Amino acid sequence: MSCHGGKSYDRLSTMENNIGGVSASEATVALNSLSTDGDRLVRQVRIPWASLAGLGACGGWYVANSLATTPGASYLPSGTGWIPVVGFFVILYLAQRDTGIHFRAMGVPANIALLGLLVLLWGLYSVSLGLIAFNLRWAVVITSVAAFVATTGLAGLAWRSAMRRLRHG
Amino acid sequence: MGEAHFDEIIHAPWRLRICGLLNRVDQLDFAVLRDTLSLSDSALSKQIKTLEEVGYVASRKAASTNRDDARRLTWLSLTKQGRAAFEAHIRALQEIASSDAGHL
Repeated sequence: MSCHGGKSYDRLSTMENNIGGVSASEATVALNSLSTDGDRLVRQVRIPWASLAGLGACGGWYVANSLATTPGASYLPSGTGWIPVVGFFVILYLAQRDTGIHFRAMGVPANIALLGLLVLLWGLYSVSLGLIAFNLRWAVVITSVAAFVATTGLAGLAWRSAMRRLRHG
Repeated sequence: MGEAHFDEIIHAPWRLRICGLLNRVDQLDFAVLRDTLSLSDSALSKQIKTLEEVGYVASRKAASTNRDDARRLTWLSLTKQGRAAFEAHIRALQEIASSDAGHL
């Protein structure tokens, strides 16, 4: 182990565990304080409910966009389908500014939740196209609300995963 | 796993805690860091300045929609060099701590 300032230590022994004026017990206290700070940081950050609901609204909007299409042989994708997608990323950016944290990584559960969200939204969009094809356009309200609830819930799950990862470093 | 290296610049109590928090994230807002550590603006600025001078911390200003007084968000992050130095310092502390445990 080396020491900033040119001091070198080949090995530690009982008599030599005072590097930089730091005893073993002080080193333990310092390491423990880092763990405590992780808990304090997580308590400091408030849950961005508005942003989570905003993400949910983007999910609902994406599925509701199926109403702007005509399913069948002459199917054309909605020309405004990109707006909720862009909105999703804008809200993510604003949530980071709002909470004051840019995460390094959000953890495996968060990644699974986001992947599940993509699959679910595509599924609900396809179901909505089916409903429109059967002339049940009103029922798209149900799939859109389901998309809103699912997106909000899964975004919340991803947030909690990121907080757990933040706490444990 | 890298080499342990005791870094006296990082080891100062507030700076160790600042680096410990910044190491958990990509970037952290100055105000969040200040409130988490219960430090004053000036005390935190002084520690950040020391860490910036040795190239361990970088700061970036950004506009804030929540603030109508022209203040700006200040994003703080550990540089690559700072992250490496902090991790080496933690390994050094772990060696010191475990050396005691090994002799109990």
